[in-house]
Amino acid sequence: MSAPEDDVDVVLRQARPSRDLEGLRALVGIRSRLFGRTVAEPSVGRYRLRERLGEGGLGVVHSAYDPELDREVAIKLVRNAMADDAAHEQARLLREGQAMARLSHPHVVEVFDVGTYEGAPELHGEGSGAPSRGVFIVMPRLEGETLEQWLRAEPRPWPEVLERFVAAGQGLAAAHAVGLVHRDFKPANVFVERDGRVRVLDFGLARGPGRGSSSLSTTSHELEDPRRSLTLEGMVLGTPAYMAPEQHRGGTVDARSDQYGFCAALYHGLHGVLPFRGADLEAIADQKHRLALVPPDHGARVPRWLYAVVLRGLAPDPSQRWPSMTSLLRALDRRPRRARRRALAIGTGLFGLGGLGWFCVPTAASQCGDRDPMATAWSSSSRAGVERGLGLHAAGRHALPHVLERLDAYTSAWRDEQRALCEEMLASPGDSDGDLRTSCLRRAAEHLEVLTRILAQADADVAGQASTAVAQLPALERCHDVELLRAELGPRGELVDDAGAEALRTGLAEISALVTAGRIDEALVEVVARVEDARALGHPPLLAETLWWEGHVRRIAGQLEPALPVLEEAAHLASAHAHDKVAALAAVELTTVLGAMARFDEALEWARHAEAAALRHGERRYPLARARVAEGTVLRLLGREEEAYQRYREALAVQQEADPGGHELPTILNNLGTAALGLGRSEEALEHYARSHERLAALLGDDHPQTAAARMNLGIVTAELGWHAAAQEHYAAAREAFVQRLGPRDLRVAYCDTNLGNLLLDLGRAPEARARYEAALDVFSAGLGPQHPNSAAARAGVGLAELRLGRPSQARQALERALTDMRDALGPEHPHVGVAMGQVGRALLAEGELAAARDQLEAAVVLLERIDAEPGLVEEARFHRARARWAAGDEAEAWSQVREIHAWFEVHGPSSARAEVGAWLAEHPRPALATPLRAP
Amino acid sequence: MDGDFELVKAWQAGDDEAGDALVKRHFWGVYRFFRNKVDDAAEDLAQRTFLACMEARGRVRPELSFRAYLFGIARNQLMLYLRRHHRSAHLFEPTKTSVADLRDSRADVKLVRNQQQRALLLALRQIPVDFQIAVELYYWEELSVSEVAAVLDVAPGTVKSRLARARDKLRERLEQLELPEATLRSTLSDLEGWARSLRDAHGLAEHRSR
Repeated sequence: MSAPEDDVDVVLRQARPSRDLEGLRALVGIRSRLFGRTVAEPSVGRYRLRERLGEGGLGVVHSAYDPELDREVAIKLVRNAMADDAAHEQARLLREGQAMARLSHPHVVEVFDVGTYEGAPELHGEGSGAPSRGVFIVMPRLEGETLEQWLRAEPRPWPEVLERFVAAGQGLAAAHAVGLVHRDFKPANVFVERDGRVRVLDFGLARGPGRGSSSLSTTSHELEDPRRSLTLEGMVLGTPAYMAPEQHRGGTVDARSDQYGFCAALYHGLHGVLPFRGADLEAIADQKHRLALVPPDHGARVPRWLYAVVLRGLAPDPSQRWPSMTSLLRALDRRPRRARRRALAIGTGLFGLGGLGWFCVPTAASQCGDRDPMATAWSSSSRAGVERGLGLHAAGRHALPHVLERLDAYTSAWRDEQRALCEEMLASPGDSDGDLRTSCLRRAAEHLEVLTRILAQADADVAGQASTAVAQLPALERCHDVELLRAELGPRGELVDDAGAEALRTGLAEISALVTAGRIDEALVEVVARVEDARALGHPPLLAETLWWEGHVRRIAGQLEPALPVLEEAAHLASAHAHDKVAALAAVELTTVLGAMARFDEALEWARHAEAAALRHGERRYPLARARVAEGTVLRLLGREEEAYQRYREALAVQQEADPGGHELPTILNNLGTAALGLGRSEEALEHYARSHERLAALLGDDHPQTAAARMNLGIVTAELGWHAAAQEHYAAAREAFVQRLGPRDLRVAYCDTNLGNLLLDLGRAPEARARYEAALDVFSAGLGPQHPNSAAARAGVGLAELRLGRPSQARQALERALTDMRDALGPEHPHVGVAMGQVGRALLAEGELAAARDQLEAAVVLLERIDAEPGLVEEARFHRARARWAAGDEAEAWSQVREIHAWFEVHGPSSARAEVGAWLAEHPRPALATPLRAP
Repeated sequence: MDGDFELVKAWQAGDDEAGDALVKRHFWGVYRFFRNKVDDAAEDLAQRTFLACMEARGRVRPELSFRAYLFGIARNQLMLYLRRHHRSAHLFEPTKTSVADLRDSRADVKLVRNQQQRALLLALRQIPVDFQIAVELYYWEELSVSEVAAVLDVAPGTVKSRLARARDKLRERLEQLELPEATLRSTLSDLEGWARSLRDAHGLAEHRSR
């Protein structure tokens, strides 16, 4: 062509796509298919590169296979382009990588390996012909999303945001401790794994400032030529917003620069807006220097103290920031710890998990559509039987409408499934998946049939369990999951079709139904007989499964010791035959049993086995959720609350994927809520409890005891957040349901009364509060004995109400008795004992026994401080100690202390304590000698 | 490119070595031919092209270069593919319809170095397929006008005018892309949105979950 060459021609020529790894792979594929050529896969070091995962300012990331350790990894190639100080830069990167590889921290992504590479240009997608060389970094292949994606996905409540940032901050702090600086902290460099684990990526990869003129990464462009970076790839454009002012200038970058980036990102995460904005980089830098923040979005509410902590990290002068990441993290951890009184939470104990295991063991081909098993399982006569059986008992009559409704719904869903499957199978005959699914559905029908028989002969206990039992019918969705069904076939996928196996499976379905109906003794007799059958049958996977049932039933029956050998046999047998699901469930059961026997080390050991087997079974399947719950519960028993909380979160994530509509979800949510509450995360706890309650109400009905228990927990956390009216409503509704279903003498009614008493006392309604506490004391004394800690707590409530009513000597008697009982039951070092001591001191103070009151309150403060009790309890005791000091004439010191305590409650709540201490301050004029308030 | 036809003949006679040599020699051109026009099928279409070449399904015109012959086959494979895989196929007309017109999903330009290149690759997809082929073969594979004409089965004069029209269109698009100061400012004032749109376009994430 003769047209003159102009710039369009140049641009067109340059736009020619380069040779890249994807193309190289295509070439390898074609040559291998056409000519049988096996060409070495592209690799770096010993790592065989697979697909490209992405590209950032720092380099490309591929997934790769490590043949030596037989695992999938991610490998980041940081290309060392034409830099004139390439050797220096490469050495620096290697050093940083090696330091990273030595750093092991749960919130820092591991570095398995680092090294230099030199290879085909295609490695880097720039087939200009020059070989690609640089530094490679091998990391685990993570599943999840970046914190940036997590934040974008939906608005997140601030405690959740803070939690993730604090985790990432701990990673930064750990790196700082060994002298590493990140240099480019931002949400895109933090990874949130699917199980919620937070990890910081890409330490030290951004280039140090002030060296050389060319670039390794685009970040350095920004440092040297702010305008140029704007035309570069999008990945780095977010960075200027988070970058410390000293980085804009090309000044010294240290840990405090990371702190700045952390705070800028946290500001963004908490408020939904970047802290600084400007038309260009200079304008942004200017805003940073003037600390001219973009005001928070009005929608996002964040506590003032948190805002102040973050603000200090954004100081333009590094010396004005927090001294270190560690001190920043400590400041961020000043979250309100629980400062509530003795709210009695109903823990997970009430949520007897019953027979959750449902094994859908398939059988050989069955004819589709030749009969309708539901016609016999849920006929008009079986329906009449259930009505009659439940109608004989009060609890049963109550549950009946709900039970019938759910059985109807289940049957109709079952018929839909069956019809759909039948049609599919007619369309593709000979499909063995169809047989698996047919068989699974038939199991479900058998379960329903057994259950209706049990309900028809219900005694009072069964009637009380009816709603739960119906809710635990096997989920029909599971019959879609062919992969799962296949996995349950056991090791060789064999179909056992002889009559003995068939009878055994029916037997197991019956045991499952007995357990869900709460007829544990019968289940035990049955299961022992079935184990004998299974041994005779000689099919090890089925035997393992039957043994699991025996162990499970024994555990529920409270036979912990006898359950152990049975479960161990089940676990070993299942492992040996690669029946991963049973292996996992047996190990879970062992974890629970050993935890209940306080053999914690062994319990945790089995928790690890459970996890391994559950993971082999599948990452998104419920055995993994159960393994996490069991481990979490053991950790809580050990007082390792934070870890327990993490396990529950992981369980929740798994369960939501595995079976979001099932009956296990509310239990996990309840556990999680209780754990969150224990860690002082009340708002989060509220969310979990509310969801748990909602699910239970849908599954079991509004007035089922489990639903009511969830509602009571909801009341506790609502009260803690200061929403008194709502809390009172929750308690009252829960109480009403318990009374209706369980009678007025049930312990759960007394729990509600105690909590209602606390609430009323806070509201200043002492006479009503006293009536509640007295009712609770009556029930607790009858049910648990008059000296039980619950009785003592109720008695202390009576005392506090008396105190409020102006009867200090009656108050003191009750409180002293409560203190003695608590000490006897709980030992002298328990926080409840410290609280009770403080209460006795208050009564003494009211009686005018100043010296005794001071001694008692002093002892209370000393004890609570020594055992590191919740700060709210300590502050409360300190408040009354200061009152005693004031009364004894030490006015200046007392007043200053109360003001400090008031400031503490200002920040941390609860509102009732804030009001009480504030009222004292208002009534007591500031003495002349009081020292000024310390800056917080 | 002497020797290419001989390699084809040897391959037809069962000599896989010859076939392999042929594939190695011409793979990248063929792969490039497909990669900016079809989503995931580039590898498959490249393989089909080589097989069709061996089975002599193209019209061999000895006066033509081997590469013109090869790209002629590649174009036939592309047309078959586009007609088969797009619902609007009955409206497909290589001198009027562009690759972008045929796609139901948003174009995915992967792994490119800079925005200008990315913009140009996108722009190329928006001109009629035969125009795009002409430009790419002429500029990237350095075929002569008469070779391009043979690939497209039109007269050389037609190729010239198509190249000229394509260049005009592309120049227009590039001029729109010379980022004026105002664009830059608005871009910066919404860093977040900007970063997001790019991320979406690239489908990039450092560790994409499966």
